[in-house]
Amino acid sequence: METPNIAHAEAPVDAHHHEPHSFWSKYVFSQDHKVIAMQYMITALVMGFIGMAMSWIFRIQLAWPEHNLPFLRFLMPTNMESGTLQTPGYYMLVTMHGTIMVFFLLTAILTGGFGNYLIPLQVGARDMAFPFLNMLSYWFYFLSCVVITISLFVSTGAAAAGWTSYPPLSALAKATPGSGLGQDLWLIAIALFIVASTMGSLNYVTTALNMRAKGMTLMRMPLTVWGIIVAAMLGLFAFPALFAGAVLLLLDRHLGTSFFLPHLVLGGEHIVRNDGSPLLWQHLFWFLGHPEVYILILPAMGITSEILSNGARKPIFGYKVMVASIIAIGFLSFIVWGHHMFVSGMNPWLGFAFVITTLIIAVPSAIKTFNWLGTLWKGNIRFTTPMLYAIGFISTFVTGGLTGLFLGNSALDIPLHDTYFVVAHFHVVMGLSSVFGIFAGIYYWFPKMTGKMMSERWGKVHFWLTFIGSYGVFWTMHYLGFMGMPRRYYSYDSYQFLPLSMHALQIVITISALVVGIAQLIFVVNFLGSWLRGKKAPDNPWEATTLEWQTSTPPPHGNWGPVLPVVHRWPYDYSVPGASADFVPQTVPVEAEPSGEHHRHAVAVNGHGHTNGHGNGHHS
Amino acid sequence: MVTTVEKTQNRRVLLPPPPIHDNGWWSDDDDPQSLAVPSWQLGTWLGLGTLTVLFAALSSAYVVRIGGERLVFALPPTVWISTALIVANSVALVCAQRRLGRKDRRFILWLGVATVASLGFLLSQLLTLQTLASQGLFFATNAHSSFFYVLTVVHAAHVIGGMAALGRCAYHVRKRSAWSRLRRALGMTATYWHFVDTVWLWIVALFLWTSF
Ligand code: HEM
Ligand SMILES: [Cu+2]
Repeated sequence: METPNIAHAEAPVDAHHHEPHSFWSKYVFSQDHKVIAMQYMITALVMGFIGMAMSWIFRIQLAWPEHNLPFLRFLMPTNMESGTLQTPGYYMLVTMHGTIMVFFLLTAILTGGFGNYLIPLQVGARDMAFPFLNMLSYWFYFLSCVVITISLFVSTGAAAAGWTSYPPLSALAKATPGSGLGQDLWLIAIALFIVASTMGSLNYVTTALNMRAKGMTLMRMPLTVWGIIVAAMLGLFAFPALFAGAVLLLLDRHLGTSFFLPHLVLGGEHIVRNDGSPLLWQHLFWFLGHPEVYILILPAMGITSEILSNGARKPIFGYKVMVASIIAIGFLSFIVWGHHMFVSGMNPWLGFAFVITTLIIAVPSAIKTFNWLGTLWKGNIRFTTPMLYAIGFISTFVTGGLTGLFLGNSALDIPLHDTYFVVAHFHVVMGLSSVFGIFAGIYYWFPKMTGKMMSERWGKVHFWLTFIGSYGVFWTMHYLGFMGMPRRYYSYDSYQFLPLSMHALQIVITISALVVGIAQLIFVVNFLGSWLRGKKAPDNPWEATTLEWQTSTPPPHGNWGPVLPVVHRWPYDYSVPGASADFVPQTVPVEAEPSGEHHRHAVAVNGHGHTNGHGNGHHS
Repeated sequence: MVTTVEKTQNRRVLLPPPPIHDNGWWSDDDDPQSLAVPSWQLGTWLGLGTLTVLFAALSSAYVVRIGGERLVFALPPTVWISTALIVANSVALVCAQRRLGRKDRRFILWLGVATVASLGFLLSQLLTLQTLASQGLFFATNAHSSFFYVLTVVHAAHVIGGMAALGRCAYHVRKRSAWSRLRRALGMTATYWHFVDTVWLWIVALFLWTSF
């Protein structure tokens, strides 16, 4: 099909956008948001694979305790002496898995990857507001990845205090091997990551608010952009708390202060400190930690909304309510962090307050869910791979959201806290939902980024294996949690209260996890293979309305050629009655095609909408 | 009348004139879409928002950590010198901006005053910490001294950042950059410094509050 006519604003090419020509300025120290996005994505995916491989190793330990894996001796010489995973190695792997997945994969790819790629393209800008800062953001991120990776190889091993790094374990170098240099590197890597994320977030928010094309009002921004910028704001206003925590913890570790360390006895030795408070760390950590989980879900929600509407060929149901829910979730996420600390001995009335705020978050979440279902309802659904992943997102978000309601009640949380139920909850809602949103986004925007199509057939194989496999992993974990199986244990041999049948479930989980792992290898092959020799992608393969699909594929430096696009309608004009095709790009004037943005447009234009030859081939 | 016009003009120069913008945040007409502030300023504000949370986190950690205990040492008198200098810094920057608005090159003088004031501030901070150390109050002595050191040192790091911003203004002066460029550089610098100066006042207030 041909690209619909685009109305252009006469705007000269920005003098700043000289295209760089040397290899270094084009691909390495690039200031082009599209290149930076790809750098972020690829680095994050590599980190994600490292994180996933770690999970295989500790899952094998859980299903077949002390199984001998000789090849691992080369990977982890300090913790795999005889080829079996030792206790400290287990804790290091679990800690690094969580840290890498949450920060270095999910946060990085959703904001640094999708945020960078999509915000300028979807709001009609030539690049980010601060391209140099954007480049710095990537390189700080890269540096943080290097530091965290190096920490795997120091002689005492990587950090082992969990992704939440609670003191005193994380504060005393002598507490465990992993509390040594590995923990310092962990804190430094996190601090660098926060700097990177802040520089990126400043850009995402400023660009979306201030660099929109003519006609792109805030209420015409795609929901992806909304999701990402609200997530970026959460990052801006929550990450500093963890930064402060990291600084204080480093001081406790090296200058003998006692922010978090009480008077302790460690191995008979008195560690004399002035009544520091380990709970203080928990507050600082979770003040970031809870918004952080929404940093991971809001962009995925945005991506899902976008793809559902496109795949169902229907306008998103309740656009304004969706925007309002995103903002409400973002706001509420700052006042619920105490739900991670119900067992910390907090005043029950305070706990009660956190129960209320936590349960209130379920309201906008449920609204969004119903709106997605409303979008699918009676849609003319195209079951493409991105669409399957978007539908998968809804499934896992509902499953995980419901278990969140269990945990949000302190009375239920107290027995369930620190069992596999929590592990199941957050993997379904954060692991799976975010990852499904990411895969939906990768399959959807891959053609735009690379100019090639990904294989649909292998995409579907990837989806079904991942979908079924990951439910195999995490659905099963809920039962372990109900049985009271504690999380973060290396071995369950001496817990008689757990029935033997529990062990069968452990094996089911590990096998499912390995299946999911293999599915990801299929993804990698599809990704690389399609990039190298995939079918050439047309400019708008999904027949989508948003701006990025109205420019060439892949978009040129500066995104739009000599003239900027002008926006005439909202991003969800699918199946507008009276329109000449089942989608109308945002750049088509309302005089040319009717719009479903306001009913008044639809009514006003209906009468003569058809006669206008503003065409896109599908005219009947 | 003339004076009023002049006044508004002077105020205007703190920012480049805002783009014509009457469509509000939520309306749908076809004006170019941006907020009424230039991007660099929006970016600066967002960045300052982030730093606000950083200092808020440290301050609330302090309040929570001491749990109502009174400050166990007297604030050294040099704290008041620091405070005077930091207020002088803000005032000097406002004067510099005024002069620059009138395209009066004497704004450079005020930039100089601001630089001297901030250098003096760092110096008097050094004296403050020395006084504490001479009383046997170090980083790890007690919760109060720990937080005093952390808050003031983190703040001092931001003062040094502000001096870099002043240096950037000086660079534009030397390069004889265009007035608009200078205004932008100075505008950003002044916004940042007012923030850093306010944080100092906040820190002093916090420790005064815990001394009573
Ligand atoms: C209706 C929505 C939700 C509610 C009511 C809820 C509630 C809770 C509660 C109470 C806990 C603490 C459990 C415990 O440690 O005992 C928890 C843990 C967690 N939740 Fe949720 N949650 C919801 C949605 C989400 C979403 C959308 C995400 C991520 C995208 C998420 C990620 C997490 C994570 C990562 C943890 C565990 C962190 C850890 O202890 O390591 N939750 N949730
Ligand atoms: Cu939470």
